[in-house]
Amino acid sequence: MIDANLHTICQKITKGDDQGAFGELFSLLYPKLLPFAVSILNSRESGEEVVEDVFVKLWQNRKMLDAIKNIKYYLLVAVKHTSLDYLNREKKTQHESLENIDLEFGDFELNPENALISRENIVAIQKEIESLPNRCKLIFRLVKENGLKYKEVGELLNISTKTVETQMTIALSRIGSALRKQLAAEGTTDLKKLKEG
Amino acid sequence: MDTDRFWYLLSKLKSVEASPEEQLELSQYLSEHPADIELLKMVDIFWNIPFRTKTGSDADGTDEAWSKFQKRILQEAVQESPAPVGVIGIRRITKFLMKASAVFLIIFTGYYLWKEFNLSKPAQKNTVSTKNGSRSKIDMPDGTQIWLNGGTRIEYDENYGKQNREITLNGEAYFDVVHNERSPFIIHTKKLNIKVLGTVFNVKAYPEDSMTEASLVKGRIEVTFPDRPQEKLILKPSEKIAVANNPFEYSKNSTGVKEKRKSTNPEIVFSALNYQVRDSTIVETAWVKNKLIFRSKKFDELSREMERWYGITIQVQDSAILNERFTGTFNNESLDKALDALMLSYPFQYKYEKNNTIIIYKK
Repeated sequence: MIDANLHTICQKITKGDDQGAFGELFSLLYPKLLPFAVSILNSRESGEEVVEDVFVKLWQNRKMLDAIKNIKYYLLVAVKHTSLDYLNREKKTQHESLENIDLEFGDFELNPENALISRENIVAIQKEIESLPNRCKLIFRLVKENGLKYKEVGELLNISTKTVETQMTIALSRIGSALRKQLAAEGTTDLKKLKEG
Repeated sequence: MDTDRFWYLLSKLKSVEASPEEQLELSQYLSEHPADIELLKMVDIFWNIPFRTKTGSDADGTDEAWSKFQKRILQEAVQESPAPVGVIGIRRITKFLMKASAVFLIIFTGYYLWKEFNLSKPAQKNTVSTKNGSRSKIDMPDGTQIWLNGGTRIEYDENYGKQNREITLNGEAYFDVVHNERSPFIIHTKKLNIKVLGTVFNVKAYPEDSMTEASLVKGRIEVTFPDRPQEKLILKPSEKIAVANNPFEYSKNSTGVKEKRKSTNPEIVFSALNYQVRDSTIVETAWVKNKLIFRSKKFDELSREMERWYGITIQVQDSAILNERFTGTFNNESLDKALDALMLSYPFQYKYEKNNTIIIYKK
């Protein structure tokens, strides 16, 4: 997803009061926002409700949409606040930040049908990501899937940029090590094949 | 380089966080460890595969969510225009006015910014305004009635009637406030704040006028001043307070250009309401009954009132008239008749220009 493209869509919405363009924005960002809401609320249903509320507010404020510099981050922040409001209202909690919330990462997978990487490798990567601590998974997801900067992730989750950096290094080292093992194993299989052949 | 350093650099590279030095360091490492180039390639590929939930891709359900969303905004568009329930345009005065001014009642739903971007979440603002030449009445959610004179704007937030009964006034309005012991009704103007429990009164706060006035018809109001926080005044029925808007006042000179001069007005005037002897109409609130009453009023001021009353712009080329004082009542007079009546007490001539501008010049 290219940010410049997002900005063009936002301009269309603001200038032309364009519901078609808004639909485009919706279909691009809804799938990115929903998992984040679900990870805070630990419920797909509540997550859907919250993300819908966020888009309704965004629609009401569509006239100022092109003034938002980073729409992806803006909406994640909106999802965070709306989710916290939702928790506080429904569960009578008093959260002001995500600090004390158990962030559920939810189930996910990588599409195993991929021509560029073997199914075994995908499975290995997936197993490794699943074994990461929840917070590390979430940070990883926000950086990889939502393209957030470390600073933005830190602000969103109320943690330091340094922590984000550390968690990302942990995630990459675990995934990378798994891949390295896979590569080595592949190497031996190839050797075996050569010998057998 | 130890392995941790490699993963650190790799994670920063993929996150688009690596500095040029770090990128250089990584490529140097790879030239020394060509075996890891294969690893980097795989990470690249994997990085571009989007996550999806096990039940399907994250994009699944988006179409469904979009059609649900569309229905909702359609519904909300119908239910919009929240607070003022009844909006009644008051009968306009003349045919000229019918053409010149429709009652414009504009309700903006104010911008609603997220906490993060504005530190605290501002309450949604509603604005109701009238153009010059039109008057209207609104019923607030708590039953309070507000009449707006021409060129007036009031603002209140979404919590009006729930958490507060506060409005901001710019212009002139007549209030009939529903009594509520627990929730005082507060009006903010630039120069005066007025706090009431329930009463009938008029507030005139046009920034272009020399004074801001509050006139009490019945009940009791408490007046405070943003400029002098420790002072407080209680107004009793038939009393009026006027506060100078600006130590310097602006007045129009002969070419119609505004010029600044030291005001001769005292800062605060405490007085009684003015009654018309004939029918005991209160001058200050007569506009609510579609009467423009003026007593010994300088043309400087009167012309501004007429601008707002008729929705016109008056340009005075004969500066002598600005200090002339006029007394009279316009009931339903057309602008022509009104000007003709004024000409009887002081000789001047007028002509219409485009954009509803009237030029007043020497006979």
